[in-house]
Amino acid sequence: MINIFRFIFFFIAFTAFPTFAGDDKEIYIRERRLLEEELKLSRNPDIYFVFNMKEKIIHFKSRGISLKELQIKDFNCWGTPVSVNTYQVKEKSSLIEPEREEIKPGESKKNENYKTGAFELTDMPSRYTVVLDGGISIYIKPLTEGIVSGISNFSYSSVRFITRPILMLWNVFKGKPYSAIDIVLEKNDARAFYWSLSDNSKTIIDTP
Amino acid sequence: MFKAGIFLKIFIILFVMFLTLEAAGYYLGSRNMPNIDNAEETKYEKTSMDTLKKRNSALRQRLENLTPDKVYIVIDTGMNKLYLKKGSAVIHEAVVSSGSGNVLKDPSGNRQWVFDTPTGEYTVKSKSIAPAWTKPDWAFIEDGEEIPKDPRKRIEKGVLGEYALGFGNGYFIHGTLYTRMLGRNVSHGCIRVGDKDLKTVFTTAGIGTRIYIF
Repeated sequence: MINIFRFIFFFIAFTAFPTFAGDDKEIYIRERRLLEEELKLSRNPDIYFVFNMKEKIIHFKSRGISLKELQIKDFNCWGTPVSVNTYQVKEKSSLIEPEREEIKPGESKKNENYKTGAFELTDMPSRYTVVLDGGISIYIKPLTEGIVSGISNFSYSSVRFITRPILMLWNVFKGKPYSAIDIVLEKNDARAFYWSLSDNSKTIIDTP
Repeated sequence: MFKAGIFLKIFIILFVMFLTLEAAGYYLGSRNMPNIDNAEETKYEKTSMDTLKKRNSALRQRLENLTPDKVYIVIDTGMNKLYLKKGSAVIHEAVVSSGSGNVLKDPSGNRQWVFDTPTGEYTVKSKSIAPAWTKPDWAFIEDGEEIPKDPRKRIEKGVLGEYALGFGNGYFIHGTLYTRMLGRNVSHGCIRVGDKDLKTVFTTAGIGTRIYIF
């Protein structure tokens, strides 16, 4: 009887150990890749973004210096796994795009009360899509606070639930990768991220 | 009655087709796939765990060493905040005004200005006490005035506060007459700072101090 238990114990130990070791190695290989990519980005003076999904943080960085951190409240990765690479922002889109106001020349001199509305953080959307190269789409939405945002978030998630599989299938037919990442942020953090992101911004995504 | 039956059948067929596509897409999207490139895995196949750990630690150190031990300036244009930092510690924090993001078009030509604060890494290139402003073309166009040919007519004193730190392309960190607007995006791209905070920034930062704007 004892021999049977010993056999089971050693069988589990021998079969399980290589798997754990392999997993550990994969973690270090991914970390190495992440560090190498970031060192490459730090050679330029531009602002870049690192999505650390394990720690649920978005880092705003330049030259390797962390300038700002946003806490990810929740996330979900779907589709083709995202490898640790540098991805460039192709576009950011929302249902209602914020618009810049145009100054009327000479108007401030004629009319003392003339004012143009500034383009500020509060004008930025908190629910939007960021399309990166490599077939990656990041869907940002704010935390649910109250009935209106609850209904908006539910509608947004429902549309995503229906469109996501079709997009996946479409990309598989075209032989292209498709990865969808849903991220929930605080409303102001979602706006701050939209504010700082520009077309051609570089990002690194480290998924668990 | 006959038509309604056909339509119902067509609807059911289309609905089943849609559900099949959804199911197929859902299966493809949610199946587990390896999270690492095969090429990457084979590259490090013969590398031991210890070597990988050591290499990663060296890379991490290289990245950490990039954070300057000298003072540097960080400006968050969305929050309108300026931070004086040393290493990872904040040594001073100030409320500022950054670019309004408004657009101005030259009525007589093809020129256009967008009053955004530029983002990225810069350095302090000049420092001046009681600075005078050399008004650029857009300042005259915005006021509906003619652009003067005499450069002396572009000089305006007292509008930039007591100090100014230039960081290139005509952009400055300077004082303001409109202190009530601090915390709002109202400038033409420069960083406006209140008097007390400006003095701290001016005395702490030297030529070459790095500025990070996002």
